[in-house]
Amino acid sequence: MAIAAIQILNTMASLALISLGLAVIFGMMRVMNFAHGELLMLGAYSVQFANAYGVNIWIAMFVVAPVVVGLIGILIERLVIRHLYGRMMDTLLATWGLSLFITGLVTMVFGNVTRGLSTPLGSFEIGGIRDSSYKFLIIGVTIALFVAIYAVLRHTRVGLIARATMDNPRQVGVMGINPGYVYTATFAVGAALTGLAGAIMAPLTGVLPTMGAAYIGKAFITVICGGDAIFAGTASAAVLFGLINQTTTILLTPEFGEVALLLGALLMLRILPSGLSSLFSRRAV
Amino acid sequence: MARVPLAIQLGAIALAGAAVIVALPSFIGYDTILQITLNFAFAILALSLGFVWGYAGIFSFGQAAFFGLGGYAYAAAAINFGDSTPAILIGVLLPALFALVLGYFVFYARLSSIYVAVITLVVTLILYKFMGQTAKPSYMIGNAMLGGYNGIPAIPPLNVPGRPDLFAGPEEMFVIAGLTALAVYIGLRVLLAARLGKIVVGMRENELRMELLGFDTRFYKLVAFVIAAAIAGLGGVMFANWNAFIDPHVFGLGFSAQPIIWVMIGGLGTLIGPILGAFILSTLSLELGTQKTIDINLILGLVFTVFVLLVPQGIIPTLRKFWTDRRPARDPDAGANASREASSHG
Amino acid sequence: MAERGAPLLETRGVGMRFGGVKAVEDVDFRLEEGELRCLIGPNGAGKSTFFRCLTKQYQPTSGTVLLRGRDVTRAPTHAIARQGVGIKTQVPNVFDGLTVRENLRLAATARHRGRAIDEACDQAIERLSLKAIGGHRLDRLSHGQRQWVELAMVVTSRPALILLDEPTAGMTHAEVEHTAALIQELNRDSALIVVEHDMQFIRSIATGVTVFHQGRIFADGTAETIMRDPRVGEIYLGKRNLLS
Repeated sequence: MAIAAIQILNTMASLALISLGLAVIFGMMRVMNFAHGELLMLGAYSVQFANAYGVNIWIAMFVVAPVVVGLIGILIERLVIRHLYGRMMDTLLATWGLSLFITGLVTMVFGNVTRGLSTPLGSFEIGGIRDSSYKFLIIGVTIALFVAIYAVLRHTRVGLIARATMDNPRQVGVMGINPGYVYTATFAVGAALTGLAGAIMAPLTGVLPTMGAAYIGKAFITVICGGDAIFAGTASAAVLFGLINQTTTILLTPEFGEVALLLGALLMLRILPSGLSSLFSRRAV
Repeated sequence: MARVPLAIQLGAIALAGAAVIVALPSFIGYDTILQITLNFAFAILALSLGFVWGYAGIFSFGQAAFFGLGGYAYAAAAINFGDSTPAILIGVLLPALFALVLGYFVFYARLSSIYVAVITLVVTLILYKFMGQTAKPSYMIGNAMLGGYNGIPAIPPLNVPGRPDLFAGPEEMFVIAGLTALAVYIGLRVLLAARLGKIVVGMRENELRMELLGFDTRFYKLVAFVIAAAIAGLGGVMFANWNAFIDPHVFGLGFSAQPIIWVMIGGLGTLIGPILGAFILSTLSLELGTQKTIDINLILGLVFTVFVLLVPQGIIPTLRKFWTDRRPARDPDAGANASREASSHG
Repeated sequence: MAERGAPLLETRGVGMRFGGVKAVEDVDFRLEEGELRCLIGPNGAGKSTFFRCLTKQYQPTSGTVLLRGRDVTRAPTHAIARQGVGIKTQVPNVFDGLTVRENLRLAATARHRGRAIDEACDQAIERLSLKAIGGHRLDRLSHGQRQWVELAMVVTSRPALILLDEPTAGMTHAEVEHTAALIQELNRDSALIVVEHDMQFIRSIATGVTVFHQGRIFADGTAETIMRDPRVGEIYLGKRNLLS
């Protein structure tokens, strides 16, 4: 029972973790980033590559991966997204083209093979069942990241500027802040969070060019079903879908877990088209 | 071709197209026959997306999934019945039914187009995973094993109704697939000229106005979505025939990407554009697939992104616009129509 | 189905709140067949919100809306339109890529089939004097002309009730006069509710007026009495009298 509870908590946290960067970008910028899976994949490659070249695993994970993917995010924002603001559908299509491009590029450079990365931390045992202690790390990091992002947006000057820009970019411009920088920075932060999430998931899944596909469906559904209050919504959707997914997985198989997640999402959107957070909040953050 | 009545125009296209399709196998080699037959199946898939995205304004990631469902349904039914005729029907109806259920959820919840795109993508991904784990013997439909990632081999070919011993060879298959694609094209042209077509396009242009006029846009979106799924299913039937084999890669991201690229590059808001896109790009993919230096996804992704940024209307509307801009408009309506189609993106 | 003697449109206690803000509160409103009524009020008085509650672009948070005695409070926009309500929004909602005639044909498709479509189009073109521009694309028309085309689209369904949201916004003086004439023409067959700012315009179509203030109905009467009412003048412009 305790193991099942930890597994469910872990699934919830994983969902929230892989969705956080997408939530930042979609929630703040209304950009549906279809290359989200590839940013996760690039984060995974960063940590694997850095670690293979002798960088300490924790530094590779918590520093190298977010920085590398954050920089790639800046590049993507400058080259592509920038030209398509206000055209949601075109942004979706362009980022989706990018996702093909990045997958192709990584396949060419690193080959279509799965690279392994040993899971740090050992294992724990409850009632004769062993499981990886890494699960606790995922749960802890996810909670810390959500709290940190929320605190930054709510209680710092940077967060205030970011929220104001999303609200009314022209007025922010009048106040002497270049809204272009704010967009770039927001996208970079979203990308960096995604890179970090990919790096953290890497030891569990292995690293390969098409790994993004395994995540994007779940991440999109979680963010969309969260609704307008982007962080509280994403968190509560992750809790709900994590519960559905893991319970079904334990009872049946992982494939049915994902089918159940999707059916739950469709049903929920039919009843609550503006997302879970419409139940408890009207605020934008 | 200014002011030729639609019926005469379509009649001429039907006759000329049918003549070419019937005559062509005598002039081209075996490999080319096979390649073009595949292109016909893909053209049907492209038309389904060209209709639902370009005219109804619904961006569906799931057309390839409907195509795949059609192929799978045909395979399972043909293996069980030993006759292709009811199998074709099932191959069209199953995806349509699936689209009806899915469409009910997304359109009656009034989800925005972005959300519809995401949900159709997620459904496709889940179908991929689900079909992949059907290797166990418990996943039998009658005599047909779904076979997981190994797929269903030895799918019976099309046969003369009631005569399973008289089945189509590659040349007959070429003609059947070609005429089917032609019929879908003509059917869609007729549909777009009819009441439903006008409503669907009106909805794409201004949804609120259509509601204020008394049209239930949820219903018409659902209808367009189901029609497109049925057409994609028909394409899948042709594909399963051509290949005599189907596996879950038709639900994969790479495969789902293809019709979107064909339609985007050929031209949104046209029907000939998607066909052209399917022919050019699937041939190109085949050529590129034979070499190993450059990854095919890299090129497709790059071309696609560049098109979204620089040529968002696609080839055909851009060419038409270029043509009408160069020519002083003697016939203002002809020019208006072309640029209207060009401006129909979104 | 339709209750005998019931008014064409009736609202009972209709309210609309956005979060904590009550934009419209407890509005009882009646409109008889064939009536022409203007809704006026200062900015933020709730008249446009009330209008959208009638068309279901907003779902009222309280109260009941009745069309000829039938409860339509929870009916969606298209169902309201189907029951004989023609709606013209503030920003013209037309099809810019189509010609005037094509716009009308599309609108007529909602209610008619076959030859009746063309008849309805011809009639609408005739009634709104659009013959001269029938073949023009909408994106080549002036703002005023686009508004008239939208009116014509509304008319093709021969609605019993027409709702107009600020039909003269952004029009030139001559266009406003023409619009006033058109509205009176439409009023021969249909009842109308017109949300309007322009007092001159309201006087020229000589009509019943309902004044909104702070989300509620503040006063009711003929155009003349309302404009002479000092209380209305005060809330409206801070003036004693709207005519001064």
